[in-house]
Amino acid sequence: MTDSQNSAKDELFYIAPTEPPVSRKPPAMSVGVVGWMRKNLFSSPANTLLTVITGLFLFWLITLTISWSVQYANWQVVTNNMRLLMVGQYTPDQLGRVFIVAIALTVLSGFSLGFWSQVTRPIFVTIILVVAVMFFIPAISSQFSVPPIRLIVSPDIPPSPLRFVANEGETVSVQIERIDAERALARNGYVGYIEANPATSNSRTIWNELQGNLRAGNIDISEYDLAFRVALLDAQGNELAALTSDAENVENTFSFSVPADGWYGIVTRPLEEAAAIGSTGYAWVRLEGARALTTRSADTQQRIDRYGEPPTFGCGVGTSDCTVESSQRGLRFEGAATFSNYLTEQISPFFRDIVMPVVIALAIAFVSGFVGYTLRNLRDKKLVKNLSLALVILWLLYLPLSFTLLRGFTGNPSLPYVSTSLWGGLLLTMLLTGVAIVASFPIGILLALGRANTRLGVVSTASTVFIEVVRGVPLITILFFAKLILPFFISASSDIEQAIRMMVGLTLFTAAYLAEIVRGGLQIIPKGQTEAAQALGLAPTNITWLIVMPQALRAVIPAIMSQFVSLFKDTTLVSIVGLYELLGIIDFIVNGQQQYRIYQREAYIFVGILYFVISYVMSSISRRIENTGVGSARR
Amino acid sequence: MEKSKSNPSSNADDFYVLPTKLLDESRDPPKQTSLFERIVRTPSFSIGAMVAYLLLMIANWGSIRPLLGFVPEGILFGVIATIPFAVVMSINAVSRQARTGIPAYRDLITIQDFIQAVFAVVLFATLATLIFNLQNNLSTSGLNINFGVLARNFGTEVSEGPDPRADLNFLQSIPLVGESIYNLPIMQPDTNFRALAVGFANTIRVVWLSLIASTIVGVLLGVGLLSNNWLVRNVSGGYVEIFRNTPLLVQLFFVYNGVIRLLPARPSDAISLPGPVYISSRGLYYPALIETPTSGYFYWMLAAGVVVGIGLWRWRLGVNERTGQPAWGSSYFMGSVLGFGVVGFIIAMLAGANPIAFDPPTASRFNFSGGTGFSGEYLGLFLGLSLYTSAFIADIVRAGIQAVPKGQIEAARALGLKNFQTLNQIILPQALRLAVPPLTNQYLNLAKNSSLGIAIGFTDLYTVATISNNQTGQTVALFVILMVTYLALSLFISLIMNLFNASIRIRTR
Repeated sequence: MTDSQNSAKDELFYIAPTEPPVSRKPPAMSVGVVGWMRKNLFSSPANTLLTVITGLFLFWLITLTISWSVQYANWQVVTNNMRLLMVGQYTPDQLGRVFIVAIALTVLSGFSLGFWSQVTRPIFVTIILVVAVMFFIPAISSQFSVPPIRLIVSPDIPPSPLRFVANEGETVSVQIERIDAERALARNGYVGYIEANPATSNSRTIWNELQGNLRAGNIDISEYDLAFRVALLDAQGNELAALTSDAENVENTFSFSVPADGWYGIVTRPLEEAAAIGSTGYAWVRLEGARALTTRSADTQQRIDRYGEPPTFGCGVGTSDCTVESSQRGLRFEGAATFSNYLTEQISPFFRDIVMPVVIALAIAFVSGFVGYTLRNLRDKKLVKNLSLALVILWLLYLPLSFTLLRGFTGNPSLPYVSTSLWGGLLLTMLLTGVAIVASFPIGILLALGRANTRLGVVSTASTVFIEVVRGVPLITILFFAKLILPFFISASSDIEQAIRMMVGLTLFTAAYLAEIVRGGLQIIPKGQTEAAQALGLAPTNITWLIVMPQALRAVIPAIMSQFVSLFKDTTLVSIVGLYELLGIIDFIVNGQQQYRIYQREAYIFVGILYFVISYVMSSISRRIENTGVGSARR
Repeated sequence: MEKSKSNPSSNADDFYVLPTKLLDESRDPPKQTSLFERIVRTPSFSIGAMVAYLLLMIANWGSIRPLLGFVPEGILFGVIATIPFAVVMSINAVSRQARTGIPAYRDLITIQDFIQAVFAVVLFATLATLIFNLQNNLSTSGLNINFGVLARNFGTEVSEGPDPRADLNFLQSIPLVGESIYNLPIMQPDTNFRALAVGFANTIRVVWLSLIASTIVGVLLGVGLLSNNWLVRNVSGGYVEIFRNTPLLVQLFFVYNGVIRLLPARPSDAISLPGPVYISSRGLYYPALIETPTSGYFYWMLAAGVVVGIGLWRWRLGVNERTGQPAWGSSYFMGSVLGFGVVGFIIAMLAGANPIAFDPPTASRFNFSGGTGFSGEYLGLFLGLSLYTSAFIADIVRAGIQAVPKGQIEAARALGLKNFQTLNQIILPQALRLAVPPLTNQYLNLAKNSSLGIAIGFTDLYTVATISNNQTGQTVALFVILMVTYLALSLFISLIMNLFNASIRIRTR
């Protein structure tokens, strides 16, 4: 009874515990990394399965990508052609103009960013950090030495001469290494052509054949005696140093300090005894030193200008057999599977060629952004307002001015004419996008107003027909029209420059899409706005331009931005009709430099990344605008 | 007015007296218009009359033009084309002034009509000037516009496509059900028209399959974007971002030049998968379904199974709606198809032969014989289009799912539905309905983007038109044909999708 009484008492009163409650930790399985994983990756058996499958797929993809990119990819197709990728065939000695245009863009955007947007301290700090890090990367990467080149000597394919420019005092060292089957089978590094006329064979196929034979046991490399001679020649064909490799002399080496600037050559020829034993044997001729050993095609013309035509090394050195050289297919094995080689050969050129300009650009943008930020916070509000207006005017003038600057004038010695057919690469892509954006904007707005104005039946019918026809056909059809039909509207000889025709085509296309977006914006403006404006006695044009249009445009900023992103991506289509913009220039590079034909993939990936970065930045800006509420009717 | 001002206590100040007559008639035109005005303002009437007049005018332009030789041709055309509009406008203006008493220059409707007339003159004059210019410039270059180009000899070959000498049967052009199309002899269409038809068939061939593939992948990714599994969510997000933010053309080049073209070319080196399926740089080959003496029984029974299955499905849905019992519609459908299929198979076997027979591809020295397949170009375009479009579709599906009210999901949970059931029966049916209009846009884009096949050498409509243009120089005629065909294709897709949209719309009270 007492028990029941007690319990009844317990129910009636809350008796405070004499000790404070023990604060227990949450179960170990529900917090921290384990908890996070349980919640986000392994919450149920199905989820676990999904995680495992996705994880395995991802692991496969990443390892594949990394191993390909380190072992097989040859990014030199990009690093050696950076100028072409950026500006196309723009006259090289006029490149200063492109720099002016680029710097002006950097200054303007940096200044606008600082002046208009609410850039806060963290963003500034981030920019500074990024700049600082990027300054250090080239310094670090320059510590790596240039990797050796290996020429493959084999019975079927003795290497053709390697010609290079060396400067006084540079040392060239040559070392002969026997190829062992293990290294040959490791499939590391990559195989490139050595000299001109590579179209006759695919060196990768030859290399694969050799490996296939090794694997099948058809040949045993070590059986062969070595019987060849490597010589360093000067431009006149005089032998400066030489190395004979025969059965006794397997590993041998020499270093030679170059006496003067000029062309030199490394020539490998079979010895006379090679004919007797039927082979030169399998070996690598390992070359180190003279930076210029890597024949960067981009510089070839400059070298020829400075040092004259590269010499041709005929017969007469070490062998009587000339025919070997004339029919030989050169094969060069560059780099090895070591990660440091990957860094030096493949990655450091990227930093050398890309990071420095990016760093400079960021620094300029940062400084101008800081100036803009300071100016915005001036006390004098009227000055700030005037500055804002000046900035808008500068932006409006930017494109026409840079277009004129880049194009120049015929007969003007200080600003010679550079035909738009020479423009290419990223420069052309940006200009096509910029011109199409600026030109399509007013046309699109007018078309939208025309279509929305149903009271003017003729105007709205005409606008509707234009918009719907353009939207109903592929862009490539419009470009086809712009390329082949448009010029005939003006004159019988179609002499309008190709790039300008494409700009017209892209503008018409974008205007139609823009019109639909703006019309969507016009439709969501409440009717009360118009009526209120009418009640206030505004004229119809003022109602449109002061009341309706600003609200409508603000509402559709994200849609407009995504249209511009898609325009930026669509500029690739002009490569089909024969312009060398960022994508089309790859075809140009590969056709001109056959040795890169098998490395197209790398070029496409690089260009793809470039497109991705720019598009992504554009769309995240639009997302930012959407989030900060600039797009809403009230600011 | 004077009176009311002088006398503040008058009624006019205390009460608003309704006007007996509307002051501004122009605000409300339909009620105040005459019969004549109503007729001429009917869009179908006015546009029809205008088109008829223009056609008549163009037909007789040869005799009109010399009458006023000193006026530039384009301007003359513009002015004459606008005459009926101007006449109707003037009659209207006069009659309106007579009816309303508002002077014509202040009547809003009349002013609008005047603006339209001016616009029409400028528009027609500009267009006419441009077109006359075009005609003159082309004839100076010896390239008169001539649609007879269609009947002219095509002169080269189309690397793949349905046989143009046979009647065009699109069912045959579909690689999954048709006979071996890849091994048809190389197409040599006799006329440009036939060649363009083959090109168009190729366009359809790649569009419909990519459409299905991109929808499936897109829906899966769209669900993945909102998965509660962190890895799946981020992998899907990465896919969508990468494929949305790079140009389709880069992807196409990468897939075709960077992957497919680097595969071994020789049939003997082709990658061989069980089936047998061969993959080489020339394409993908797989066994073809072939006809045997008894296969008719089997396929007819299978077709009957599908028809009956659909009937059963609908019946079950009806039962479900009336009684609330589970529908099991798809199970009934599958059961019917399987049942009829098995019966058909048994009948065919009793009749003497196996109804299902395959013709496997066999690698010979230079080509494959037997089997069917896709060409490398087809494969490249199909993959490129599907991967690219699926990223956009994924985003649309994600938006659709997010637009489903949260209460729906909570209600489903409260009813005890499992995750998959909620997704399958509550979320997706609603989300996909919301997604149909933007999906239509993506399908249209896909159809239009198929013209990029030219970049990788797929002989679609645009490629054939380009070849034809290089041979004949009939740019304008071919351009018009291209435009009309692509417009028709776009209209067809949006028509189908609009019908679909109307049929699946949830009918609310």
